Amino acid sequence: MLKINLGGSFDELKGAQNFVVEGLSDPDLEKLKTLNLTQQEWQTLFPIYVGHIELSIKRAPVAGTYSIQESSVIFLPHYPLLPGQYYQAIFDFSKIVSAPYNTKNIPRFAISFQIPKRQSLPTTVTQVYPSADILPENLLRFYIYFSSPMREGVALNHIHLMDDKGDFLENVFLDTVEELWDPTMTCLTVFLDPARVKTGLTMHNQLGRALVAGNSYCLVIDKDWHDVNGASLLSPFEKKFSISKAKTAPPNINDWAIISPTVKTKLPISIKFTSSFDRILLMTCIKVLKPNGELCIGRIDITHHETQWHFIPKEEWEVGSYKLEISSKLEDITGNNLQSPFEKRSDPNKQQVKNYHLSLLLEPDPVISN
Amino acid sequence: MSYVSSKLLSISVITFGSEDILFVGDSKAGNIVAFDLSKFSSEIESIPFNFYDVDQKIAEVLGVTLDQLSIKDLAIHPKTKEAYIAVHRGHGSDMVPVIVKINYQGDILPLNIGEIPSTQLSIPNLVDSDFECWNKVPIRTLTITDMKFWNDELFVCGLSNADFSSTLYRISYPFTNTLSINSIEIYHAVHDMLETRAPIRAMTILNINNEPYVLAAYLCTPLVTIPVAQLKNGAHVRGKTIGELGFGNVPLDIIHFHSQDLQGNSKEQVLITHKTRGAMLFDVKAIAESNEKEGLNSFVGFNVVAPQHMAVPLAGLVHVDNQDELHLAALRRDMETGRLNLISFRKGIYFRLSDFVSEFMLPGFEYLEQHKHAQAFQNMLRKEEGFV
Repeated sequence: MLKINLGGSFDELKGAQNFVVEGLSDPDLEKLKTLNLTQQEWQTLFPIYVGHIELSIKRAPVAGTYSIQESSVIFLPHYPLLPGQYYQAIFDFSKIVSAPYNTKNIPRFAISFQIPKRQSLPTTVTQVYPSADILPENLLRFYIYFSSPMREGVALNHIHLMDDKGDFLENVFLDTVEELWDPTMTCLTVFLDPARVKTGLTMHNQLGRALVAGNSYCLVIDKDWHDVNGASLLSPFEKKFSISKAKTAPPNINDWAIISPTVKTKLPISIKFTSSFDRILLMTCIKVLKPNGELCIGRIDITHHETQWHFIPKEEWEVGSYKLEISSKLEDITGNNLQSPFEKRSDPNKQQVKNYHLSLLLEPDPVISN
Repeated sequence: MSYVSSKLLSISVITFGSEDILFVGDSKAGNIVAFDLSKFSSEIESIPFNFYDVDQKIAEVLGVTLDQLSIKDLAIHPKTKEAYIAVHRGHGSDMVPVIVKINYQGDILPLNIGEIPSTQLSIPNLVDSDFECWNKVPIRTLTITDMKFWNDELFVCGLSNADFSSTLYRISYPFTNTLSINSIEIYHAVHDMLETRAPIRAMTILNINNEPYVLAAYLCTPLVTIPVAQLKNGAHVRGKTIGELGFGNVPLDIIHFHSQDLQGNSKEQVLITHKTRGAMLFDVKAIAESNEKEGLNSFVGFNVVAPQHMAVPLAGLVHVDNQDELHLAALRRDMETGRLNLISFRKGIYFRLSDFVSEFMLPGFEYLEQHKHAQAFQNMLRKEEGFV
């Protein structure tokens, strides 16, 4: 009896399931082998379609390769079958072969499969940065962290800014066309439209800044945004905040307070800033160099609403001159970096500094060394 | 299964180089991959595209429902004139980047990526990606926003998910291991000598008065020219703002092409398409004129300012590319069905007759003497759009 089954390995990553027809009689198999079917003829005999209802609308068959192996006919799709999707396999000998092979004993055979859905926990918004409740009028961006990957391409449909009257504001966020995700697809960067933030641009003149000092707002992420498994968020997310005056002065290393650790410990080097910095850049723009110039391995913690940076070393501190190497690309939350403010007067003579260095001389601790 | 290949983790942008080379910008892997398609191409005569619901058909061929498909880019093979469409199939860890070719019969043919000869180049990440830390996952990414091939070089622009700046790479091809990659910060003037960092959304490279320039549309709206000669490694380059496209304009693509008008005269033009508006069509001459003047340094205004251009009714063009001397090809969103159509537009006309019902179409209409010209070009468009 003719059977069509799903076969092949169920390798989660790239393994494709294939479709296997079994139960063909020996003469039928021989006939198939001699016919030497073209791709198009195979797709007429044994097409696979996405969906489970036999539609009268013409559908294109799924692309893949056909082969005859021993007593089976196998269709291997080019791309893996997806969890949750329905597929329909049809085997119709009459399309290719006429009588005497095409007898009423070989019916047209159609069968539907559903690949099991993946079980998963619902996704939530885990954190939004900057984490402070008071943000400057010229805030440049938000980072939104999710507990698992989200569907891309629809972010701006689901991220809203509400004023304190409960109205949603329009044209607040920058449409970057390609969304800006981190490699894990769980951190999304959303820019407040710089055309409204920056002075002198048409949009700024027409609409003004979206965030006005003295007012309060709420960043809302609605739950209709689906994760990669097609499920809504567990609940909507809200971050309420109020706005202080714009911060236009660029950050200055001289304003930072550096706390040196004690030798022979793994206590952190800490930097206290005078305002909030960009969280991702804090994680990536400051390095610790050992006295021999090598990179010091350790873990970074960001605290106090991104106003403090701490480096906890993997190995104990030694006596010597350590260096903090700080990339000039480090930005505060308004986009001012160590090189220049977000908007500045042009100075073609100004030297472009790539990295700043701060020395930290760690001296023997009289208590510990005795 | 070489249709799914580790050569590509994602596709942001595709563009053709010379001689059958298809460049793919893979933001996730941080690579540019060059595929050599010479085995698969032969020059054919191009005919206008009229493939409706092409996104639906691509989904069916790739074995998924439409919600599992993200269309990434369109590029027309300069020799064969076939359409290459890059997509992401599936989401999250299931996601597979796919490139399909659409021939003139409307067949959708996925490329067997693993089997196509290719070379690749890593783009140095904007930051110290070798930064070792207990949490080793690199969290900064560069998303490639556009790529264009000019004179043996591939120009690539991108946007970081963290720092707000523009990076433009000049990459010589064939790829070498030595640094022919240049990272340049672009600034543009706002007013009163104020400048600002900004990311490039779309660009093209063209000769203006015999000098090559990058013409770039920025994410916060200015239209800028940058002389290619200034794009040297590590340079601080100031672009000249020749336009400010203003409110509600999200530029999608900039393409540069030659066209023939109905009288047979050749024109050099630039088209800028937008996400929710009609497109802007410039003669390169108008861009050159604006480029001669002072940039918009002292402009503080409320209006959209741009070099002289024609507004053309090309809205909803999600992706567009030059097809041949007479046509542009585009993936256009159908406003009613939400589907994508792969269609061609006749240069010089820039609309499709079948988008409209006018009195000419109604039964009983008779063409009179004064309609002779209209009848001729309507018959041409009817034929091109597949109605004969």
